[in-house]
Amino acid sequence: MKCEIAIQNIDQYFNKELGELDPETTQHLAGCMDCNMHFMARKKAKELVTRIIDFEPVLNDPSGLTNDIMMALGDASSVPETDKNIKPAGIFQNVFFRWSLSAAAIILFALFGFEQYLVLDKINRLETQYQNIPEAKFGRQDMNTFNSWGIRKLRNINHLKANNKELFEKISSVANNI
Amino acid sequence: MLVEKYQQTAFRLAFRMLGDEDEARDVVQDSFIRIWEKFNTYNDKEKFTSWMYRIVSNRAIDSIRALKRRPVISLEKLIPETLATRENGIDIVLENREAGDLIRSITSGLPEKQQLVFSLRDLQGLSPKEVQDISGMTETAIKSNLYHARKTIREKLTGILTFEKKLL
Repeated sequence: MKCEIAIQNIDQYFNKELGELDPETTQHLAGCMDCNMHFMARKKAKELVTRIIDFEPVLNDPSGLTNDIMMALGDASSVPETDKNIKPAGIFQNVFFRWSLSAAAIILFALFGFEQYLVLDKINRLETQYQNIPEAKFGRQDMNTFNSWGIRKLRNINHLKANNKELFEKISSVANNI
Repeated sequence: MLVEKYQQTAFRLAFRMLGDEDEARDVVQDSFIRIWEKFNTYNDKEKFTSWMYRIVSNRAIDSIRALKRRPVISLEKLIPETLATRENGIDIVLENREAGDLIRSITSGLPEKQQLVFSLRDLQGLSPKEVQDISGMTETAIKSNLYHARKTIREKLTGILTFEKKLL
């Protein structure tokens, strides 16, 4: 038997690909020093690995380790509140309540925010139209009245003594939209 | 108490990955702090030990990276005393230091994934499914890494032992 085949058989045997060594290989091992050395090395390697695998690490002073861990946990849990995620208190811990609160805030913002936008938009439009009226068509007295009353009094636009019919209609239409 | 119940199991894995008692104790301590901090992320459908092993093995890998330049005792020096299993008719039981030196020597030079799979599967004796849950690797990747790790270790040991025989 050639040494190459014997080595191959030995490796297969230790890799559990062969159940046992065939008589021819065993006979070769008895007469071949190199192959015998390879066999013994594989055997010793297997024993060594088995010893390592079977080894159970021993935890010396387990109560000391427990104490160290508990002390470290104590230090970890004594971190200032500002460095941690601060948990909400009382009813605010309830997820449903927090969601309801958020939803209510969004609805209120949408309602009042939109209304505020409408008022501002109307004021803007009123000012634009007011600026577009030719001064010639606007009497001095009317101008003073208009300025002194301010926009909220435009609801009583009939008190404004406008000389010009066109001007009166423009202001009326804007005022009615407020 | 959780710490008392699981510290031994956590220590065994840390030791088998690091081969050093002091380092393993530090890793266990750090791991329990992490468990405490991350407890709200623990899914109770998963086995607690699997979740704990994941944290311990991640911390151990961090530690291995940090200690990469630590000198490793050569296998040639370790093997003769380790192979002596009986002296004056009394069984010699490996101690933490010897076993640790040996673990570090045989696993040194292995890529991280191979080292992790070898420690979890062969040294810690976990099932392939547990190794999969802990490492996040696929079944094929685990098999492949384990095959290469075993092959490297086997070749390393056989090479040294053959050389020793030739010297005798």
